[in-house]
Amino acid sequence: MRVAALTMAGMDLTDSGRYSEQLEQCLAQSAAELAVLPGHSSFMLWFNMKEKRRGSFTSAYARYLSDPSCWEDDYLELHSTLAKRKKVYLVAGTAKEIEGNRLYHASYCFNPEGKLCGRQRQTHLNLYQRQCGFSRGNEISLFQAGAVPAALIVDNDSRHPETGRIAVCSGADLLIHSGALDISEGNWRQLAGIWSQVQQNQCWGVEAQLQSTLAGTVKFVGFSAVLAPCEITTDLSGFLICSNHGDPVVSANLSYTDLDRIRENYPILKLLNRKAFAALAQVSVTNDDKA
Amino acid sequence: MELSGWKEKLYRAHLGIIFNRYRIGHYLNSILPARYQERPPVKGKVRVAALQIKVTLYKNPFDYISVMHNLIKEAVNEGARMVAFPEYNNLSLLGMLPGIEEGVGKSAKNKELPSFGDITLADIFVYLSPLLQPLLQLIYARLAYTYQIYLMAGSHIMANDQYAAVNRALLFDPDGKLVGMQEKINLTPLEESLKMSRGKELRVFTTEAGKIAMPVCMDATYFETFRLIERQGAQIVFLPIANMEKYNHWLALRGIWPRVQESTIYGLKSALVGNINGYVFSGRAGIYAPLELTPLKDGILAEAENVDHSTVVTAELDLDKLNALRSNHPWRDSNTELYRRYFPQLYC
Repeated sequence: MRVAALTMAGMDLTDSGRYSEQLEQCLAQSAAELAVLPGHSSFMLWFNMKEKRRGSFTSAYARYLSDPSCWEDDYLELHSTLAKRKKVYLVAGTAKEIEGNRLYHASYCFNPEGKLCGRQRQTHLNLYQRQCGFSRGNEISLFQAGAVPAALIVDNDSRHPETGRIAVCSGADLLIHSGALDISEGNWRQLAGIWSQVQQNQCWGVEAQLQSTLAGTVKFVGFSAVLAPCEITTDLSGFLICSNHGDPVVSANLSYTDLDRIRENYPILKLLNRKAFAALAQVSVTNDDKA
Repeated sequence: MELSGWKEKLYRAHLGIIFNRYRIGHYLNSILPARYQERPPVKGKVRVAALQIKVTLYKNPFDYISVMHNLIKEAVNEGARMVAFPEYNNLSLLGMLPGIEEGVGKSAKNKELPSFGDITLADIFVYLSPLLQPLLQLIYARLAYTYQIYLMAGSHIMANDQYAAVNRALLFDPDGKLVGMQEKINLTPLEESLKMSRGKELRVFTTEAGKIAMPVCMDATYFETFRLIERQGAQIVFLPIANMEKYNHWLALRGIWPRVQESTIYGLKSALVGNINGYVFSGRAGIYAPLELTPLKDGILAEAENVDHSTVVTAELDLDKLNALRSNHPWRDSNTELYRRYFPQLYC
């Protein structure tokens, strides 16, 4: 399967028609069967198209969260249509999701028929998100991306290895991450995220990181990549492909032959002494969980 | 050479002379200074040392002791109050067994595990345990006592109470008391093939410098190790390693470094390096911290400059800063409901 990670670098996000054209160009360029948009993609488009880039990041984000309009429905509809038109699996980055009085940060995947085939709410929130009033999702869902069982790892979940472990032990071979790392975090932060999860689960990863500047002040600079266990990458780096700054898309092929080989030669998950970690299953509710 | 009956008794007597406690004790008395002057209690900050040791097959235990002693002296001269040795830190003592070099070299050439007929390396260490275990405890207890340091004596292959081979790390306090032992709980395929036994639980030990844990090498492949340790309140992790592969930056990045980031903890990696007749071990030793607590925001406080020579790596750990970061962390979170849903199936 050929997969692609998009960055939104250099994209004109002010007009939905223009955005769709650019996205289609990236999909054509990559020849991918599965393409992933980065984190905060819905917010980025809202900020550019609807808000016309008004205000600071903090004030804009607050307005986005409280916007009662059907922006998210339109956003998802746009990507559903694109997935159907280009006959690809398309992960539409991340968007806000409201259920009752609860606010979630979620990621979505549309199949080549344009139908929603995967959905995942973020399960671990950062401090800012908790202050904004987000709630945590409480399950990890798998879906089929063609012949590949996959799971979506949303934003801050990339730094919590529980998510990847649950996904892979439930059957996922591919972890799909939509993220947005600002410049203050640095690239080292990124290596402790999905790259590390791919290594300790012996699976593949597609990591789409936002590359853009928001409100003139917040600069997102993460690199996008297609990841695999180090042993099945040519330079042992764990990267099948990695973006340079300014690349709008990177893509690579996933090979089950290679993945099965490393899992056979050095079966990390079979060697895991699960019983020794039984104490992890004994958890009690804390105040942190009230979100 | 098969040993039985009087031959085995004679061989054991020969080993008993080589590893005689009184001989070793006498040698320690001759080289060690008087006990270090009283050192102030550790408060908030502690200087630590991770050792990188080039593996050598020693022909007598005095050479082994001398090398370990010199490394500790260097670490203490740099102000270290805690010193960590690598994995398989008793491997070098095999040099005292007649014919060992030839046997090891032959196995390496054939790309096989070291073995001698039906006898495996693990069998050898189980056999030697009654002699080696007390000896190692004597050596490292004296070194810890003399220099008033917390000394993680590396891990050693030895027999447990059921006479099975385990890979066990030892921790001594500044009074020379053995305060903790930790068996490796996740074994490599090589160790599994040697029929070694896995440890059953992860332990955390209380010291004046905070709570410490000492998982071994492969244990750091899994985030669960550090998550459990963190839950038990550990602030510092000693990780002895002996990676039997050529050094590669990316492969080395898969162990303690991401674990330290995931669990907001300090980590020391002490490494066995070098070449024993074709078996290659590579480093590098280092001391790691959450990105926020490192000068270049790269998670590294100190790291060995080379991957194949003995060296001492030291750094200061600020436990107050670690506690402050933990209490107001920008992105750490916990989701009990998620864990309750999935963990019982995963780990029980």
